[in-house]
Amino acid sequence: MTDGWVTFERPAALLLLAALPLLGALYGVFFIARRRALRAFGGPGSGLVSGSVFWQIIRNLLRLAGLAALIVAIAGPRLGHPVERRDVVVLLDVSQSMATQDVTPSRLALARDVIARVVADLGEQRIGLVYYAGDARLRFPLTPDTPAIGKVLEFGGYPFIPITGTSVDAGLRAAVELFPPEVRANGAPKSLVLVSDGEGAADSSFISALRSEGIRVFAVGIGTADGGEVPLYAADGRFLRYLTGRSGTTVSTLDAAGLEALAHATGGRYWTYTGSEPVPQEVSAQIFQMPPTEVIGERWVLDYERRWLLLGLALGILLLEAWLPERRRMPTPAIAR
Amino acid sequence: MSLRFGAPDALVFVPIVVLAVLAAEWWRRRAAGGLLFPSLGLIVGIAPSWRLRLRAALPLLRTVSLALVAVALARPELTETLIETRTAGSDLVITLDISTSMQEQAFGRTKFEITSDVVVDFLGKLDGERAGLVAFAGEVAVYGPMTSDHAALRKMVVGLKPGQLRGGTAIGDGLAVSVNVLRDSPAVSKAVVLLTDGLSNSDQVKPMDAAQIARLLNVRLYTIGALAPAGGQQGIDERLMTQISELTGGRYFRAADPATLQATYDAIAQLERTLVTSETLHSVPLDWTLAAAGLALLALEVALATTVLRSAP
Repeated sequence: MTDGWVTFERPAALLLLAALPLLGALYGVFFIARRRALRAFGGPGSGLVSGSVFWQIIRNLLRLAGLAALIVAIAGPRLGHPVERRDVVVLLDVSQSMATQDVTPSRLALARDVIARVVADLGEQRIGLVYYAGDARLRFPLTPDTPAIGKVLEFGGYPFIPITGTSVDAGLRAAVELFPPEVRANGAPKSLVLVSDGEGAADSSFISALRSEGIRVFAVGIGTADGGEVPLYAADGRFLRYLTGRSGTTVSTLDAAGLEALAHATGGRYWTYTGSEPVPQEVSAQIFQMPPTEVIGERWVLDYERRWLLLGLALGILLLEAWLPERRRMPTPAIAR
Repeated sequence: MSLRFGAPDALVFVPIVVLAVLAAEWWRRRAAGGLLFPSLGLIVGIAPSWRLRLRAALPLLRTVSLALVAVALARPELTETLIETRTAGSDLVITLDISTSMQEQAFGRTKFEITSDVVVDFLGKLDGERAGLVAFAGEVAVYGPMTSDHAALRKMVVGLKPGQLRGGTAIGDGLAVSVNVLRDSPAVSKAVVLLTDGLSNSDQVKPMDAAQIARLLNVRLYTIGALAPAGGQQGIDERLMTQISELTGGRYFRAADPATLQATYDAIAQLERTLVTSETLHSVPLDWTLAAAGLALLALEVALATTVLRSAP
């Protein structure tokens, strides 16, 4: 996040501030002239004047401060910060093993949940979504309409689920290609959120390409080390049977080490999510630490609507100055006995 | 042009400020600094100078200047009412047939290539509308939810390929899913624009049932029979298309060639474009002008009080 900034609608008005030291000097001249006039008029008795030098100085300083606040208010200050946008590609593993129910309700449902939360946190960023299994498919292009990504997740994966199998590299390649060419060319760090059970992640040969493009992988592992059987479903959602291999029923486990190695190799981070950890917030916090892709506007915290604060301050100071006393406590004359 | 205040409540400060300044002046005269002087006899009979008379104007200057700043606090604005006409935000779902028959050649290209180009052009012309994208063959898929990002939807249309979905033509299912995409839409105007080149043959939801649902949800159905002959075993059931469209207040279009297809989408865009007249206030802030006037009067007061109208002690 870049720092905030201050701009003025009428910066020329600030030149009037240069007149304030002159006014201060005028007060000095006035003060000396007044003392001389008093001496000329009162002679030795001028020392008994009841006007307080201290309060006169305070009043003059307050008047200068009030005028300064008024000049700044007239200049129309606007205090705010830039609205930045980052491009984020989310890569979701939709391979068969993501149907495993070693987490509740299933890995895929939890994966959608974590993505929906991250997308909601990211707000005004530009987000794209890619699904992968044996191959990869664009699910939705980079869009600033992030609620649309949330809706896309609601509408499910079929028929976007590509051929069976798990090819992390195919997914990573498709995800990288989703970044606009100008963003890929600038070499600045970019965010890729990978949500997977880690199958095949340890064998990825795409890490060097990710590093050369400045893409950091923030990986979220879904599943458990003990794993579970992989259910197979018909196209209409009916449960058919559990996946079997040569040695009987296939058990799919979370490969946290593979995902962690992939994330760390790109300068990213890894989290395991089972549904209760604050992983979505931590993922979005990491993304917000990445440099923005572009600045898309400004958000003002002090603008026309709130300028009354400065005018009110000026008015308050000038009223206080009007009410301050100028008299000093006079010595009590000795009473003749 | 008329005068209004952005924060009229702040006008309450104007009399308070005026009274406060006048009271301060009255109090100052009572308790002003003085000089012990043995006798005023020497100055009795001396007429007050013009400077002394003018000094009475200094409190007036101070009062007016601070009153101006107080009025500025109420954010006075000169306003002008502008009447604007804009497109109302309607929600449209583009529903496309991507059955394998859309791969057939027509006018030197595949039917789907022709359709894709026309739909991409149509999406590019949308203004205030949101759009969604649904494709169907023997099954249905939502490729794009309701979004104002038409560029993203255009990319999704370009990525569509006939044969991506299981074979068949499920027009009723396509309509039902499209209407479902619009179920949470807050838009006043909601419509589905469905394009097909064939007969419905693998529906789980009958097209007329889907039309009834659409009617209940105030969704208009526009149907387009595109690039295929009407009637026959493989042709478009124009009677059914007309029935389901008219049931919902929509319309059936027959588009036998690319130019007619283009004109059809343009016509639907016109039908769905509701022009709304709205009034907006254009305002010119006067707060800084009044504050600047107050500053000028204050500066004049300070200049006079420290030079020609200065007093002692």
